[in-house]
Amino acid sequence: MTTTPWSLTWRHLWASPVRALLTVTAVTVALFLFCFLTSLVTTLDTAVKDSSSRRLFCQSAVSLFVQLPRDYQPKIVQVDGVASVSKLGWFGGYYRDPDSFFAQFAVDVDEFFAMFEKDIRVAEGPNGEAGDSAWEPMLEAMRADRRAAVIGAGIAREFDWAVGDTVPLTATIYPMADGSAWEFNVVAIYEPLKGNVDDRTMYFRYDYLHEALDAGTALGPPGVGAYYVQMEEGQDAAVVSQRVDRLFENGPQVTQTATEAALQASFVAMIGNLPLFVSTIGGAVVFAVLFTTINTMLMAARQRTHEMGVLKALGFSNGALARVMLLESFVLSLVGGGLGLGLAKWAEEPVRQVLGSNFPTYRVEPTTLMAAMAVALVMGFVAGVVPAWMVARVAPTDALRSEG
Amino acid sequence: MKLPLEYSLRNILVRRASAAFTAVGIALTVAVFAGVLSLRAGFESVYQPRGREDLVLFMRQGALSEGESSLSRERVQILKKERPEIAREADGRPRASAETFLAVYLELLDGGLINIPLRGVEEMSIRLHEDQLRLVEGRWLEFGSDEIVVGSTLPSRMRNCSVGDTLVLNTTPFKVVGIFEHDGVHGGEIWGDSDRMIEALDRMGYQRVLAEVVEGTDVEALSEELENDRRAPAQVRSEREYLAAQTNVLGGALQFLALFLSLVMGVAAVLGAAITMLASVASRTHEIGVLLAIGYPRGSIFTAFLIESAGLGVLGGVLGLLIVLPFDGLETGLMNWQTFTDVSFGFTLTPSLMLASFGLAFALGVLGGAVPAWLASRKEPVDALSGH
Repeated sequence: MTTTPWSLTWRHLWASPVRALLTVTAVTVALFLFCFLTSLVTTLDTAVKDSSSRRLFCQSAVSLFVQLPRDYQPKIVQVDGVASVSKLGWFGGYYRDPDSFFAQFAVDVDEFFAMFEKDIRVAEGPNGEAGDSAWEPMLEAMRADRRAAVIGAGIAREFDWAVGDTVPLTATIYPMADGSAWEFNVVAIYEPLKGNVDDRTMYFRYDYLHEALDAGTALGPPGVGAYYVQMEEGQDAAVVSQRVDRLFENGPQVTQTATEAALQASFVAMIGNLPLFVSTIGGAVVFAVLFTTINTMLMAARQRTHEMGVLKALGFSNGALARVMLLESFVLSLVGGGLGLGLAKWAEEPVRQVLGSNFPTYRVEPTTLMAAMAVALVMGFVAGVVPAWMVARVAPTDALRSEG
Repeated sequence: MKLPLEYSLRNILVRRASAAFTAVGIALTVAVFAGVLSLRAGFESVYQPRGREDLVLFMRQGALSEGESSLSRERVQILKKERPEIAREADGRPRASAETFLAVYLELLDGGLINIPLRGVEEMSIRLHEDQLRLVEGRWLEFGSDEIVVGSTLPSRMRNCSVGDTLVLNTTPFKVVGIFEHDGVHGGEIWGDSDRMIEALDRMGYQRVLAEVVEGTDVEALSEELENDRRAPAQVRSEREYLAAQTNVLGGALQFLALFLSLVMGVAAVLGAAITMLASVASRTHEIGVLLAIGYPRGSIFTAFLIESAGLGVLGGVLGLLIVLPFDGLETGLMNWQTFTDVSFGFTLTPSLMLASFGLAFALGVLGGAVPAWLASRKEPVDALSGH
């Protein structure tokens, strides 16, 4: 007989349902963790990959926290190859509790939103509309109200803010002189379209900030955090960056201009060894569970020595019996793997909520799911091949003698 | 009647391969648990025990960290001259110093920029931390000049940070003249003259005033009083309280990571132990029948299998600690989100951490063995003897 008794695999799985269930659960847990940890790393990578290499970021060469003078903006606009420039300022405020952190940036409305037209979409506009048709009304509303702000969908959910709300923020860098809170009017809610923008940011008008500082109603550094620079079509980023930096090489603040992608990459580098830790842990997890699965399969094989002897005596080939064992292992690891993957994808949103502002763009990429499936396949193979080999090796007479 | 301990332990040896696999599973769980928590212990040791209660920080009200604070020259002078709470030297000088703080870009030796804290100090800053600062190379800077001293954790990682090097800040070159050691945060900082820093970096003023307060000062009351002061409003924190608050986010994240990972991995390890023990029980059904038939009570059979499983846990615990032990003291750098600066620190495997890890391993073994041991003890002697 040369056929493979596939139905045996099915019987084996049901012969010890508790063990099969435990193994599947172990694999599920391992693959879930694998997806989670890998996604932490890919989330950082995606932020870099999705960043524009056509948009430049001009900041102080000394420090992220040193401001540039306001009069740099008209000078940069004059540079050959530059299309438009938007101010960008870190506000550093919080709502009620300093721990409920989210980012707020002061920007120049027209220039900034034109640069990010392809990176975000309006989820809810001033009149309840969404998508492309809401874009122009959003800009109108921003232009019309000095205190207008556009917020990410993540913040809207977290604080239960809606379009039309007036929200108070306590400032850490720019406190009001009388100790009161800053007030912003939410005119629209956006959703990110790419990994370089998160959904936990608020954008508001730079002139609101500057006018308060100039009038003395608010205190704080009077300059500009950084400038976003949009290049004209067909310009070389390195050349334009150099032109900008050369303008200010003798001060008062030396600048460092680079593409947004380079900026994101440097942020990732600053995080330090975190990705390394995460990968190491992920490896340890997969190994630990691989051992568990191999263990189970070995045990299954040992218990079936007698049965295998009978089948061999009946004329089933070694190969056929090995395939039965391998299939069992594959079924266990693929079912477990599938569940783990599903769980990871399903938990994407809850995990993002828990991670909050540390990983606002957390996402389980399709490539991660594919890699995880590959890991499950390898697990199934490795865990199945050893017992399969054991079965093939044993002589029918020995096997029959064993009491199983 | 109790089964001898050897019975359980010898059973582990019988199923060597399977026991080893289970122990390795537990070991890896314990290693991850201990590894992440020792990172956290190392990180917090940089901040926590060094802060002194009698040293206080004056910052602008509302600022959560010194990077966000800003104090003008006038305010600093008023605070230093007029506050009776600030201790004084024999010659009447206040034991207080105005400091600037800025996270500056510095190049790592192997490429890439990270944020390093640059602190502008006055001579009094060094005197106030006298008992914790040690000069290990060169000399202290000459105040009023463009000289800097560098914390001892930096030269081995960063460019332009060794004695004799020149570091250009904005447009001004600064000369490195000394290396100093500090077990706390200052060991990863660069120190220069605070007034020179304000000028070279075109800053608006100072970030904080560090001062020693006279004995019996109520810091909270002082802070409350100053927050509503018209001429020089400020918030006051003790150094200890301030430093502890700076570890909240990263320390919390590491703790969450350690607990989450060990929970999930722990589940997998328990399942592994359960599988091993189930098999151990299944293959000894006959033997269990014999034991029951000759009068061993069910309780001692339960205990014997539980001990076997706990033994696996102990084995895994030892193995896991052996895996993390080489990491102890290993230096690494992570970004502290709250100050947005790089902190370098070592894995610190404290005795209590080792004990906790070992306890975790033991618990994983016991949890994994509980159900199989119970199943074993519930077998009917007749069925068991006939091999069912």
